[in-house]
Amino acid sequence: MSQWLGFLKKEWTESVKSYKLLLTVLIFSVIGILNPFTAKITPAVMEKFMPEGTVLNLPEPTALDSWLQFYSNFSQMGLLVFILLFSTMMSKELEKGTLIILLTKGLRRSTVITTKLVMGLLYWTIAFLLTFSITYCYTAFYWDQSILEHVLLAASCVYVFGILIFIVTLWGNTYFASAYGGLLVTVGVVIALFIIGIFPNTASWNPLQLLTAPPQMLIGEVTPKKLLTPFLVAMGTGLVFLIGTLIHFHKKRL
Amino acid sequence: MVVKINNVTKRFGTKEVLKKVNLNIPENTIFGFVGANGAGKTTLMKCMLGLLPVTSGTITIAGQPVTFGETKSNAHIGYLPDVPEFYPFYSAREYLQLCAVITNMPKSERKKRIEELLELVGLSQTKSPIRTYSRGMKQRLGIAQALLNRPKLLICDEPTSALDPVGRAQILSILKAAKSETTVFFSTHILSDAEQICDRVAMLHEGTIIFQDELSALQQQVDHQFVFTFTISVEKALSTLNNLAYSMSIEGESLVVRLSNDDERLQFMRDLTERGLIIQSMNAHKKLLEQVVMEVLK
Repeated sequence: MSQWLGFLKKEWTESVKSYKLLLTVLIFSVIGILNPFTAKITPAVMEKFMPEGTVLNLPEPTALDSWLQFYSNFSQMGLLVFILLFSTMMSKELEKGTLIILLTKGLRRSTVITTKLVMGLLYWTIAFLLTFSITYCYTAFYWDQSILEHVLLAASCVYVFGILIFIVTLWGNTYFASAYGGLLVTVGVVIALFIIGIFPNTASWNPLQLLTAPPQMLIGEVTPKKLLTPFLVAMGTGLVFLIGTLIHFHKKRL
Repeated sequence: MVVKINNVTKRFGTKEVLKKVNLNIPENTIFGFVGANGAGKTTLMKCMLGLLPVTSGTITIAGQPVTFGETKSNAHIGYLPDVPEFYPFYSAREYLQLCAVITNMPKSERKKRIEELLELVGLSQTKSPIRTYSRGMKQRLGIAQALLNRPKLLICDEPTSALDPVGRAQILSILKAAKSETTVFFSTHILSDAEQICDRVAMLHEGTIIFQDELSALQQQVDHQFVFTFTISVEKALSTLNNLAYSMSIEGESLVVRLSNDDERLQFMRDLTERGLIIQSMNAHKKLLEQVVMEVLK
């Protein structure tokens, strides 16, 4: 087994032993179930809690309502949970000093970063596929989804935005060597993207579009082509942060 | 020389922690690196490992220059930090397997080498995860991982400082045994530990090496002094010899006498015989390392 695979195996073992796999499977399965379930029961719940005699003309929920729940739950709660679970990947090792022995044994510093990146991406992929497939199947059970366009492509936009946020967290976590450092950087970047989003002419390239535009893509108001630039900017920014993490860690004093 | 340190200076901001340090470590020796806490011992070790950049000067390990970051010279080094931290979910055997993969040890050698080392450090029967280990067990596992790839140099940072007497004795005996296959460079502020196992000793004080030599040379006979013990108490012996013109003093249960030349030594033996004093033991007076240090620091 090569050094890279050996350290990746350690990352996997650590994530399983620290219940990250269990938590990811549980939380993202629940989110997947919640999406169509919430859409289905919302009219009934609203009717029940309205004062007696109130007449409500709520339209029958459709597949679109279920996917709107997906963009509300997965992009917000799901992404937040994922970042919290993996926000200490580097800082924990740097604070405790567990890397020192392995680095002095010849472990390449780039291996540390790239294996952690791959492990984080693997978990984010598991989380996305779980939530997406459960939402898709459960929604298909209740409603006709043929009224929607680009279901997978629209959901993938959130997945790509999640990758960018994870890489930013990894950079902050490595740079500040503390869990809060990584989170603060992430929060700062998201706030910055929202501030940029205030200016209408930034919509053509702002990666935040990957989070806000997919519901419109489902109903055909936004074409996939329109999200190509935000996608490329997100990938480019992610790459810059990844290279920044590698360079910084290469010269980090331990 | 397995280690050559030439004029190494290390500054943190304006604070100069190491000042033109020169140090050479010969192969297959146990080299004690003594100095008070904060003297700069760990900083020098981290520079040797390429974990910290030096401000100026050069370090060579087994002929390979040390560079900050990813240094090839680490292939020759085994390192035990002062507080070794391991992944708590692994057992000792699993952790050594990870280390074997990291060091690119051939698969065919791994099992045998790991068992050999677990036996050496007394952890072969332990199956529990590292999170349940005592400080001493972690220190022993630390030595096992450091010796895994048969390094030319074993660097141990204060390996005994936080251990109880039994743990300390175990670690010192493991280090002594390790000398047969590697050079041991270990730092300590416990001078008696260095005295027990070291061939050579260097002392770092306020960032400067203030002495480095063979331990036996440092402890050489002091000013022609000899240590006597008698069949009677040392106080009685001294009162019997009191009217003689020798420089005498009591140290513990022994009488320390200064005898400058052969004539004086012969005369002193005659005086003892005349006064009926029976010698139990007689040795040349050697300094304890602590005395050497105190004299240098005066």
